[in-house]
Amino acid sequence: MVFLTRNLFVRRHWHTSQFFGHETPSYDRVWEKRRIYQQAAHYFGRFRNTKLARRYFTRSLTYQTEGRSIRKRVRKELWDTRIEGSCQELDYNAWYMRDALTRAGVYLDRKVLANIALTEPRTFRAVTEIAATKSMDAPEDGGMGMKKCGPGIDVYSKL
Amino acid sequence: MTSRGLMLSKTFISQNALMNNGIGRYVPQLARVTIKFCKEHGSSQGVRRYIEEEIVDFARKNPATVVYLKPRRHRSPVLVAEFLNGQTYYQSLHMLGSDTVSGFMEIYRGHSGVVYSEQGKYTYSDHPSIQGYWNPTTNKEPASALYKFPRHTSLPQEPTATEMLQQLFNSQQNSDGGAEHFSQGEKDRLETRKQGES
Repeated sequence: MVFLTRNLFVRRHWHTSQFFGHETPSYDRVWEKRRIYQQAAHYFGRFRNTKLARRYFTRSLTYQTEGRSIRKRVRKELWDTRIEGSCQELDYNAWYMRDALTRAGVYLDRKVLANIALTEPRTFRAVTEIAATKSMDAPEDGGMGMKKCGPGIDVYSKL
Repeated sequence: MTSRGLMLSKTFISQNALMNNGIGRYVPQLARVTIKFCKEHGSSQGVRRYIEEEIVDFARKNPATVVYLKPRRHRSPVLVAEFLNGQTYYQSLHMLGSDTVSGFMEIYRGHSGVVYSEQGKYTYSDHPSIQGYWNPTTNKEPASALYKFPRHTSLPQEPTATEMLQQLFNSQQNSDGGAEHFSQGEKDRLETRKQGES
């Protein structure tokens, strides 16, 4: 028995013919449209089932491309805000924190500092104390010569 | 692409392995498979071929799964997969070939039943916080709960403008170096003389 029904049900573009010189396989454009409609399924009204869907979906692609760098910037700003808030509570100016920690040899990044300020507050307090001690050191000792600041806890004797 | 367009929900991992399935013992999660198809219509052709050739093998290899076949006239073919967690999936097999049908059966055979969704994070931890999450009282002294207001704080405060002027004046008076800055007329005016003396 020869099964032909499967072949007959395959969707082909009407320009294609398997009998002529070379077959010009072009898949049915319905699949390309289907991909677009799938992505635009949550749009409102005519924007999801007419050719406008392609227009507005292209726009969403440009938003995605632009958003990649925006997301990084926004995340960094959020971490900065959180670190600043946590340092303010401990009477330390977070503006000097990065410099002080680098001088002290603590190379934690913004993401980790913001996370430990939430989940590990005691560790964050100790890190702030390290930064504050370094900031209060005289310039000839490698510090920044700032006035008294920071949480004022004893960290260095325990290290 | 966006997950929203694919109607994907967002979840966070809640366990390392659901009920530890596979660690030790593996329990197949597919409980029941029902295939509804039409005996005559062309849209069920692939399903009919699959039933002729491959379904008995599938049922033999998966004793934990029950396979039901439901011929329904003038209906489009559908696969209904039911899982142990109660989830039901409807998969249309309309106009699909028999190898695609067997592909779908294979997908559902190994599926856990949990709805396919986008992961918010790829990390998971049973104890995200060791020292305890921050709360507004974490960095405060416990004695501050018993403070009575008004309170005289011993915080170092900067001197006010009035105090600074007074300090300046006193230092000038004491050192008498301020006398150099005054002109003769000012010195005369500032001179303190008791009544009667010259």
